[in-house]
Amino acid sequence: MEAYYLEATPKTPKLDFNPEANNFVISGRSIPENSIEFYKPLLDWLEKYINNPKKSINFEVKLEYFNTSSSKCLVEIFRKFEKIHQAGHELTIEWYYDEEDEDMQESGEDFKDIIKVPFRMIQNKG
Amino acid sequence: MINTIEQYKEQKGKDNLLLAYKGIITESLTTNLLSLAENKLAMVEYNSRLKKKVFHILVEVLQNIYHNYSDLKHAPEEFHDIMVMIIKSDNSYDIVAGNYLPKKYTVSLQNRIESVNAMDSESLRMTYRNRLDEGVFSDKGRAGLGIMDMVRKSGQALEYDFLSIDKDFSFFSIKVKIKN
Repeated sequence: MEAYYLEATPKTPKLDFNPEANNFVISGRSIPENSIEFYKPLLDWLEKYINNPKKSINFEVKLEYFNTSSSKCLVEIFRKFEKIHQAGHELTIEWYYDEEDEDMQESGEDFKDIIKVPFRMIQNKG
Repeated sequence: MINTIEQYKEQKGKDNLLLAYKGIITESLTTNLLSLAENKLAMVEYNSRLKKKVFHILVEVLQNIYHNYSDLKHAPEEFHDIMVMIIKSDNSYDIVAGNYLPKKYTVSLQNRIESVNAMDSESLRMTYRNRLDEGVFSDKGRAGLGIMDMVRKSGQALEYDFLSIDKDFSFFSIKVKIKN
């Protein structure tokens, strides 16, 4: 299975999903007009990946901010990880946010509340 | 009561007007307006938290208009113009926007805003989470998350109004106040 990698743009985040690695990353900002169009290939990739995932996976979410239409896609992404977790794999989602950014902290709490996997809130240092 | 058309006339040329746009809206214009707003904010606002909030709410306001723009497909050309302004005060920003919309949508939009405006922060949080939980493929009408997000992030009820233009169209005005 090939890695799924996209560089960040001013409106879309970096996506770093390497099936050989134990660490997946999404970082930057996510404010595309059409979020489904942007995230659909990643969702398709994850749908294949969950058939044969690593034993232990860490998913780092390092978003600066995202629009509400991206938030619905993020839920769908986290749902794929829920399936991996339900299948007995070790899995952690890490949500990074800046100390002063209570909006991103609150957003993390929103997801943490509705996604059934270990979800760690991590405050960025300095 | 907010009337974006009047406010636009009144604000033009004033120092505290950070950005004003009147015209059609496309995906690339949205991108350009956001980039312009971000650059201007970077020059005048040192509080990164407030800067981010203003930008974030502007994204929602503009994309909300853009996503509903297809409702105007059959509308006369002069109704395709939208307006948006960012007005800076000492300790707050106003994002004021306006767009035409077919009258048949005004009641549902008004109900949506009223129901969000009426919620306290805890019930707004719970409603938001429930809606988010439904995910992208349930598609229960248009997101509605945008309006909730504006209220949650600004901590203020939305100021809005509808101005009747003719028998088929109204002009919708909205103002989001973002305090430090």
